[in-house]
Amino acid sequence: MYGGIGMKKKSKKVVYTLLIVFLFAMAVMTIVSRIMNESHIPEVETQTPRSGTLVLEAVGRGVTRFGTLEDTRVEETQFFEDTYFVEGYFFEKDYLDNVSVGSMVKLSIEGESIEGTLVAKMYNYREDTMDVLISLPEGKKYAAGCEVDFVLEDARVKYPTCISRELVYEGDDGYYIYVLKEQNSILGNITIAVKTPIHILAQNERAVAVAEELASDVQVILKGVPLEDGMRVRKREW
Amino acid sequence: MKKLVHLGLLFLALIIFAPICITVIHSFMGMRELELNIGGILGSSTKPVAISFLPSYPTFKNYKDLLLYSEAFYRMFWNSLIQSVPTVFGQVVVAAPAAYVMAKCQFNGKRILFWIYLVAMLMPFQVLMVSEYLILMDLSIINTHLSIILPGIFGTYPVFILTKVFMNIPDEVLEAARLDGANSFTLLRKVVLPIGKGGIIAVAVLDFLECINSIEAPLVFLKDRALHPLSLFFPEISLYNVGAVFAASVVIMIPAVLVFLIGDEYLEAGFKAFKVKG
Repeated sequence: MYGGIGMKKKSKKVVYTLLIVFLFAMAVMTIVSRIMNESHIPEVETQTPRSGTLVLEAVGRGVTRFGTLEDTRVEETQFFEDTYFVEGYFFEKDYLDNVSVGSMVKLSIEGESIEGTLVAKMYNYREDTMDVLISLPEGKKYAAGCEVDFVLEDARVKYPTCISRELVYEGDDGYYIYVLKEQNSILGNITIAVKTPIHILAQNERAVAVAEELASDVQVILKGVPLEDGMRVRKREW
Repeated sequence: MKKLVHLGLLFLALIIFAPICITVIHSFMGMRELELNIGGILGSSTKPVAISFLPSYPTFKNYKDLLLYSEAFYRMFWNSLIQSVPTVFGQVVVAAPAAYVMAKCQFNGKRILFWIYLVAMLMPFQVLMVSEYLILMDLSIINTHLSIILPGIFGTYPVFILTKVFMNIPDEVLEAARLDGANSFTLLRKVVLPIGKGGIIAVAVLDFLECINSIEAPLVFLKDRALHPLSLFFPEISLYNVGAVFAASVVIMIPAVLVFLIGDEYLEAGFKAFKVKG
């Protein structure tokens, strides 16, 4: 008999046994993995991002004025003399892009809530704000120079990437989402959840506009299943 | 002096053993720890690569993911066996008679034929790849297990080794058998194969290890990922699967080591036989 690494016949038998056990175990585990794959990987629902218009609250500030108000709603500008109005600006100028004059604005003057009408808007290049004139209801007197906070509730702003609020998580480092990613690996063609940080541009109670350009075929995972970065998931097939 | 040589050899052995050691250790590391250690290679961090020899937070998660949830791993494992076992068996069946003829039969052009075998053996896969591909395509077996098995069966390497092994069988033994009325087939079956058993098993073990580690042929001839063997398991290593990759490497080592242990004494016998006249 040749030397080899000096294995005795008994040890050889053990090696043969180990090989058979290994092959048997692999056969059993093949079936087990198939079952486990089906049952233990969390099933998730996804949504895709899309461009859209968010209905937002545009917030502004101004002061009350008394004098002549120019109403630009009509083709020929009308002048209303001896009237009360608010001269101010909106903080987010972009919010006013799709808002037309004549929209209702909620105002708060000295603790009192009233409704006014937007009669003029103009971009202020110096301050980078949207300056506005808001007419106040007739029949009431206001002290000129009073500070006024106002809100336009249906400012419609178009964003290239919008996602549902149900997709966004908030962590210590900011906002993030989980994106479904297909991967070819030793584990086969698997899908995993990848944690992706996002920056929010605007949000309302239903949707969020994000600064990142997410492709339209990106699958963003809905909240509901506890996820970790890199965790295997299964996409729910409807 | 002897101690110094031993120390030197031990050092070399450690260097050779280091990759295996690193693979085993990293297979017990979690994703975050792997990111800290080798994230630089995978592009997920800019930190330099740090090889640690003990996991800070040992985990079996990689093994759990691999062994419980990876159908593909098992599919690739069985693909490896489906491609390796028939190849090895076929190689022995084809190579043994060819080697017997080369070693013990006299005919014109034997030397030239043997040289052709030798040259074909020295050809790298890349040289024969295109012609092999065209032939397999013509046979309509490209992208099937047969596209790996058939070229493997007709490999020249086992013929070369077995020729050297059979050359060591004394001619007197064959002559005695012939006098007893044995024909060439009986000689091969009853005399040459039993005597050359060591060499045949050595060839089988070496071929099995070569087949199971083969990368180029499956990569070129198998388009369908469902047919890929385990040797092609890392098309894109990323941070998310690198742990499973380490675990897979450890699991794949097991059959190779067991087959080696089964055939180690025959391997040595084969090498010895090869050495006498080679």
